[in-house]
Amino acid sequence: MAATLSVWLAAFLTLGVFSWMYKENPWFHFAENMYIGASLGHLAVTGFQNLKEIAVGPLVNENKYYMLIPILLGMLLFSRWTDKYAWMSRASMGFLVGTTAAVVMMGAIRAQLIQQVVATMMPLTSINNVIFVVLTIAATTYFLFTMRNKSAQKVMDLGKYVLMVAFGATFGNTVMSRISLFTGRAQFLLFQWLKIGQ
Amino acid sequence: MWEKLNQIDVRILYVIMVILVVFPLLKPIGLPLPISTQTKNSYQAIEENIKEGDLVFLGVDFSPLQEAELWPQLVAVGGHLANKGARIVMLHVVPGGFRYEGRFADVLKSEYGLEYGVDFLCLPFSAGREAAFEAIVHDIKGLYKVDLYGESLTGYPLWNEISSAKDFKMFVEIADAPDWWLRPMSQVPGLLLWNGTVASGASTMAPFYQSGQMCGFIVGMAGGAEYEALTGKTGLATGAMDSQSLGHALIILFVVVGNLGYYMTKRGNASVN
Repeated sequence: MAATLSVWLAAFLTLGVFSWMYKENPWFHFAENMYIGASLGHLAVTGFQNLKEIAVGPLVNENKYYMLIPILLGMLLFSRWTDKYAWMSRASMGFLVGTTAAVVMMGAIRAQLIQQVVATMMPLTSINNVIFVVLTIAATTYFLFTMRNKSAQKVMDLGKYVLMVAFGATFGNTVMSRISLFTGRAQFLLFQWLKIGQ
Repeated sequence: MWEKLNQIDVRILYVIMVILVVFPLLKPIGLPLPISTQTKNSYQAIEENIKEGDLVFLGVDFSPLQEAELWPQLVAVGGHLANKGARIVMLHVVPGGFRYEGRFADVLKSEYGLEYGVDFLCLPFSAGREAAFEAIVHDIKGLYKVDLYGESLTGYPLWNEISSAKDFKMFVEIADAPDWWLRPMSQVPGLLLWNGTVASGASTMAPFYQSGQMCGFIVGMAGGAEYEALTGKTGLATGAMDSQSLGHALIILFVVVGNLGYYMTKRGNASVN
């Protein structure tokens, strides 16, 4: 019974969202607001659960008093809502930004910089490799904004076209994603809700 | 004539798109599905590297927004791992992933006969994304105390065999284009990285496959359909390929006609001036 109700509710909301294609209407706005509300509700519950399991639980049950520090830092973030005490959130923000940068930096330098540069150093023994290296250099050169040399300008122009081709490929992939999203919803409506096909 | 193109009611275009996507779902056309070299190589990466008993991480990091593209991938790739006899440890760092982890656990039990706690495990949500993966790399036993269902992990034989992330052979991540999992996991020596992602994330993750940092990489619903064909178990992705192809063909037509109309209109205005 619960499964049937959830399928009907999902179908009602899906069709409500699709009704926007005809024109904006209350059905669409209801579905949109339901989605926002449900997402926020889920986020709130997940956040509360995290707080309970990771911070408050160890503090109360395992006497890990050092958990008071992150709890206090987290609470200080809410001071941003007031003009008078907003300065108190700077410590929390600084801690967040600093630790995130440190965590990301460890992996980024190795995985995203060094490994990628090494991968570009390929033997120029095949036409594919030559094209790959030349176009990578051209695309990277495009971002040298302080250079005004005429010969470098030609490389930059080539880089610009390389970037356009890359953006075109990204656009094509995005179209594929959006069609897949719609196909998935259509499969749900046909196979699970109306039970026709497949 | 070209000006009239600008005046077409956009709802007519929507209706055409709906018909072209829905019709093949009801009456499959059977358009050919060539399998790309990338998907074949990704399949071979699991086929050659995973032996019976190998420990494999399976990251289920997607929400209902990406379900259409990534659920078929999860079923196909996860099934392949199960058939190879891998011992699977599922995890998720995206709040919506718990749903698909639980659903796939049911698939592993019912279709592959795997025993929970012995052949596979489901780990709970861990906040922090990249920070969670860093914790997995450095101290997985400290990070996880209970499983997805709230039971203590120490009661499961599979968990007691794991000491650290270094015990694992491969990390298979089914997620929307995040590179935040790759940065920490690439620090584990000898751990093979494999990724299934959405089509819109292909350009973000493709450089990591091309550089050899990932041994496998499949993209979108098409990648899922190709993988289903390779494993011999057709599913939702294969059934959707006709719709995908017709939808793309329509978009190409719209782009060509739209640009042609723009060019002809501009030329017409220039000649009038």
